[in-house]
Amino acid sequence: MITSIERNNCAECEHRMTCVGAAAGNRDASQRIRIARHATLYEAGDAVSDHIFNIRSGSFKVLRAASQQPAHIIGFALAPDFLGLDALDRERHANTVIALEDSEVCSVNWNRHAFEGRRRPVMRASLHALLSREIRREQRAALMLRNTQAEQRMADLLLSLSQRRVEYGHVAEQFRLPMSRCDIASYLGVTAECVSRLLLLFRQRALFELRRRDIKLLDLSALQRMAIGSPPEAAMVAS
Amino acid sequence: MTALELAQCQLGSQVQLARGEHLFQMGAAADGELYFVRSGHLKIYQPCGDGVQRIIDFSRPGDWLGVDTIGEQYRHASAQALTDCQLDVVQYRHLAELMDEEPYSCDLFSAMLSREIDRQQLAAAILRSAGACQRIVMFLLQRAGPAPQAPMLEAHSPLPMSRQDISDYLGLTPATVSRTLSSLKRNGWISLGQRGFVVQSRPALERLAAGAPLAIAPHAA
Repeated sequence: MITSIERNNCAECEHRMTCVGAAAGNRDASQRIRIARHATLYEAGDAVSDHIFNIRSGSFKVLRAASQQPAHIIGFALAPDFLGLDALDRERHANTVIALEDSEVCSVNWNRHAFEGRRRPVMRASLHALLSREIRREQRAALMLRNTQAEQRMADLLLSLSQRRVEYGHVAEQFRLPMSRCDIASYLGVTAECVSRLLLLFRQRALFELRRRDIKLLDLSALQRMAIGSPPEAAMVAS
Repeated sequence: MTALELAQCQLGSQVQLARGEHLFQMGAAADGELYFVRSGHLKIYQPCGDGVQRIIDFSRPGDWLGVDTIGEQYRHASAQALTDCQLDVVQYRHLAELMDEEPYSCDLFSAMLSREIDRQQLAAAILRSAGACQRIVMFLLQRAGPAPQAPMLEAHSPLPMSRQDISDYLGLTPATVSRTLSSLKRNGWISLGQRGFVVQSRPALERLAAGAPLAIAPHAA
């Protein structure tokens, strides 16, 4: 599904600082790969290489199946997130990663032995901090699902996307929402109709403005209150 | 990286916790400290007002704690002992020095962090798979670990957390957890002890995990 591989011109890349010494200052450290919309970067069962992927532009959805269950979307990855951090210790990928739009990723070697002398591997401390942050993100995604109410989950998704923008040095309120309603539904564990209803409800409460794919959060503190949720008694009844 | 390697390197100092004690609290300074659980069980959670807790994870002997805050200033969650615990305190800084000498141990450490991401992803995938019974059964199977060579060799798996903790972790009510556990016991698929369980019929549990309804699943003799 990979459509083109070309030399990486890292000097021009706005995300080169996130590649933590892997690519910056060394143009041969990685390869740039173009992935067309709906194409797969890798699939569950594919062999894992020594590479992790940094999204240079575009966005992806990550799918995972719990034993013998249908696959669900377990996450969204937006530039400049990394992909493949969960597979350093695996022989085969457990997740399937699909492009939500035409995207570009850089394939970065993380193994310090593979290209000794010739290419710089991802630096140790940065790699560990990166992995550590990814653990926190995944913990948060799982926490979201322990909230029984769809409203809470929706608020949490918007806040976590917003927080990531902040981590990458952007404003918290404005970002793109590249995923479809069906994708959001799969991620939140609700129906697509429910997502449409939630989006409408959030707009009526003036929590955000949505223009096509561009979202502007209007009331972060209200979203935060929603994400924490209603009193425990109410939450108890719902499951 | 194993406990043994650590012990040989004399990296850690020991810490003892009594049941109910906190290892660290949410918002406390992380100080670059990691913990290796030698014995005992802990829960990692976020307190969120009104006595409500959000359980992130349970850890048991052989697990690392604090690997989710490497490079961070503050703890994003609290850790409380569910049983008496014995832990090694390891400075990430010291670990890093070791890794400079031993590149292989650095790879092992990265691999361990990566497995942790994978584990969290699986937890999320389990929470998305609809049924309450499925979640509980998958949780039990995960705690029981891989199948032993013969069914009679199934080991006792500790379940040191309260029903409330389990239900918070699985996004269910304590009543549902208790009902499902006793139903599994009544069918003879698990035996329940004071603070643990033993798998009696792995095939039955695996069928349930794959989505077979609890009511219609064939009864064990």
